[in-house]
Amino acid sequence: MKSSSSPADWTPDSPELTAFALKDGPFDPSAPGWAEQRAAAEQAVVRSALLRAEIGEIRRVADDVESDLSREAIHRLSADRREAVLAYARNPERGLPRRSSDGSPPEGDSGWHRLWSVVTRPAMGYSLAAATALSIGLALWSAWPSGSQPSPAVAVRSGASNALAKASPSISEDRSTPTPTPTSASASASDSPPIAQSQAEILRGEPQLAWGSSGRSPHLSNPSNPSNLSESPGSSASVAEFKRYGLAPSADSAHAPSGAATPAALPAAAPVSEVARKPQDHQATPVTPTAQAKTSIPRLRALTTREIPFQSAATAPRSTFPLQPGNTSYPQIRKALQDGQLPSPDAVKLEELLNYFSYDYPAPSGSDPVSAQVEVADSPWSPDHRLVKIGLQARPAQTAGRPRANLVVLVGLSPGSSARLSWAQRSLQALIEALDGRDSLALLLDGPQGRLILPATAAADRASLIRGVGALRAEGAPRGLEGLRRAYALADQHHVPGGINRVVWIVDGEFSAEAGTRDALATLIREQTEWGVFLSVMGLGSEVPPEPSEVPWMPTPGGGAYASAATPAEASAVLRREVQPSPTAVAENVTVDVRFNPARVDQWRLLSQESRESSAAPRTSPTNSGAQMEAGRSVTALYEIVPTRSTDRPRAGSGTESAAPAGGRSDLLNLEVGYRSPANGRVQDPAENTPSRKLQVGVPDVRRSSDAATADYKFAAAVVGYGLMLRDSPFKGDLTWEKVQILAEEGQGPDREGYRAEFLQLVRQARALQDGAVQNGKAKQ
Amino acid sequence: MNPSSTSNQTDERVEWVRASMERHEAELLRYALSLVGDLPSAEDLVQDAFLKLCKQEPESLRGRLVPWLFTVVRNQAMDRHRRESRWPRAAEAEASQVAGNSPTPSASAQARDDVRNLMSLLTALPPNQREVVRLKFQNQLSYREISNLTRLTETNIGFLLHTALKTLRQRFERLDAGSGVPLARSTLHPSSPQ
Repeated sequence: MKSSSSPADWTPDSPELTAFALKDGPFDPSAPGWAEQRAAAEQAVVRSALLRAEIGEIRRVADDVESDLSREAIHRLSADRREAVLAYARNPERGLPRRSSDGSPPEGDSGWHRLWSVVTRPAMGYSLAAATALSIGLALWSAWPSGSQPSPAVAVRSGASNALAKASPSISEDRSTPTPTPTSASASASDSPPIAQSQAEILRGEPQLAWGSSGRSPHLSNPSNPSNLSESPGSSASVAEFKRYGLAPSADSAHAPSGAATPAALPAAAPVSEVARKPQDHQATPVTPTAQAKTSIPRLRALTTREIPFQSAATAPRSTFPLQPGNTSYPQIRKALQDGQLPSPDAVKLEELLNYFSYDYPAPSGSDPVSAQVEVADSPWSPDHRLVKIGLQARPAQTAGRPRANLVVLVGLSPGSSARLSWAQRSLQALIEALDGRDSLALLLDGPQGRLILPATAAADRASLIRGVGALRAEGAPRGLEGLRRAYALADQHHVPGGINRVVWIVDGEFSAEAGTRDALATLIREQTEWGVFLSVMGLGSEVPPEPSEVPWMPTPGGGAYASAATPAEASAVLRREVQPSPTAVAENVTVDVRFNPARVDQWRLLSQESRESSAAPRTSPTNSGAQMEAGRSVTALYEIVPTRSTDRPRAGSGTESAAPAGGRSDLLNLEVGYRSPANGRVQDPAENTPSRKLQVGVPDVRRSSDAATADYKFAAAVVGYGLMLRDSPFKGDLTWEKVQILAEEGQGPDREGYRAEFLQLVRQARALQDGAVQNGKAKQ
Repeated sequence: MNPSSTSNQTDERVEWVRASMERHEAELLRYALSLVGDLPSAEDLVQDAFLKLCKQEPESLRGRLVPWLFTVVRNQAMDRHRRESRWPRAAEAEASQVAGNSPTPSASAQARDDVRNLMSLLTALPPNQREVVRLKFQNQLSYREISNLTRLTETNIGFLLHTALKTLRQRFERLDAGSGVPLARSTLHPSSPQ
């Protein structure tokens, strides 16, 4: 088809727009000059919201038509007709057989007809299998490959072909007595849904069967080899990246890795279940018999991490701590405990545990983008030591200035997960609360019927939104690709230029896209991302994100992201962040410099761990320059301090300091936070790399019992103490489970989201497991 | 000629025909049914196409088997039409081709309604648009393949599809507006409050 008008002149009524939407005609990758055609068209389309909306409409109708047509009854030739054809194939010289519908026997020897009917029957299953294998070999085109070269992505139609292999024999048997009337046609059709449905699943949208004649070279792939499933390297890389930030929604994932080279950037520990615990000199963790039984193939292996030891303040007076700790450790521990195992000590990362929770820090005042708060008390596990809790809090995000949001939420939960459905509902309510009146939200249910629960509705109409959320159901197996298409079509219809256009896809944590649809999914997501509609996938009830091969999201950074939420509170937090635009840094080039006063501090240690291989004293100088703090973020660090003997005198004081004048001789330590105001798109001058502003806090030495500390302090101590117990840390002093539990109970605070109550649960579980292990060990001796 | 090689060739040919039938009979039957309107006649067309296939060299059709089969079916349907003046009774046929394949009774009723609705909308399209829609969306042929099959230009195919989709879209919308069931087809046609 020659393009009769240039894309710049397109109107919603141009036939070329339909061809573009369908990726056919001049936009068929086999058409001459398609790359140029496509580039020109994309330019025109990206500029026009009207055209984009129209394309969305065209695709939607095309999907509908295709889906409806695929549900049409499937007929097959009757057995005697097939046999007649095959007999003729074997001996064409015999002449053409008569058609069975003529009611008379075939021409020539009527005997061969019956003979063949005997021979061909048993072969049916085999030939079906052969046909199936062939159809698997057909490559699907990712009709919109990136770049100018048509680089076909190959996918395997295993979903469809499995269904075919299963369904076809029964159908062909049904057809052995052909009664080809319309009535029987619709009756037999009820046997055929697996074919119709799975074909519909697979063939909907871009991928087309590549007939060789069209000039498209079919890429054959081995159906038995799942590695042939197309996965762009970028996609799996980003998934791996994202795994480390289990909770962070997409926008965060694009930004989070920019932080300092801190434990956050270290590779995540091996999955808990794979790491066998090997009793180590001082870190012997008893293993319960159940744990041993459940660890399928124990791989004995030395621990890869150790806690950072004490350092002398005289020789190493300076320290710093990570501003963006990872957050995989806590979910891993929870998962292990739920499986009845104690986690591997390597999976227990103190600073990640500590920062899994949020603490109540005062918002920065005045023009400061960051506030600092320090609290000192006696260490609960070594009363001669002090435990110093340092918290930095970034200014909250300003929602007033954010652009309008157009959100489409696609809920695809399997029936039977009613608990998850209620999480989804709760988290959506939290999301609605975070919406601005100008925003809009639509709710789609992904299931066999793909119902629209709530059309795009202005958030000002809160009652309707809440009603819509209440009407959510799990109606049947989610269909994935089709549901997502509809969600995108909806998002497209209400596209807010320059706004937050986002599809939020809520799935079961175990959800993985059907093999044959992954390629189409990846293509769809990539395309939509190019048009500024982003995707966030939230897997409910999963501790660990699924394998990258099963989640073809995120072909481009920020295009899609996977966040797993293992608890209702996490789900709410994930969704609330959806309406925030990509996190804005309120401070850049943040450096944290903790200076211990050797007159007061004999030794200090950061409650964190390091790689066993790492030598020399780590983190003794501010290494996190260049890190940024995003709006609303906070970070917490704990230091344990061995005071010099002369300072053991009690001294009155509140124990909580914020932004007091620094530099006093009696100070325990000085905290200095350097930062620069965000560049806000300005090109950074490398010479400007030095922090332009500083926040200084002098922390006087106080002596007070941990009993008198704030709830937040106690809770932080409980969390880190929990980690020490799980690691069986050499630094745990006289800490006991009992003490951890008391600290956690006293540190509950308001706990609005239920995180701390859950932690208390985990303390009890871990305690029971470890006690059980100890009992077992004693019994054996 | 070596008799065993001949017999091998025959075996290969039989397997080729058998495989082609397994793979393509269903889509050909759907297409044929949409052309002639009744299943026995459609089966005749498809069986004839496969009988003709028996006379072909597999090598000669490599890479263009499907377009070839579609072309044979189509040409035969044309002949038949000329011969018997019975060009499509498609209206009845399409209204009757309704499948129920959903897990719940209400869902399957919904699916049937969807198909029935589409079929009734399809039959209201001019025959050439209807055929192109089927070839494109049911048989997954490309513009070029449809062009080769129907002897229409690709531009023409593009125009027919564009017009057909426009019409279908409008009618879907009207259907939604008319039906008092807000969550039926309207899953796809949300009305925005904005």
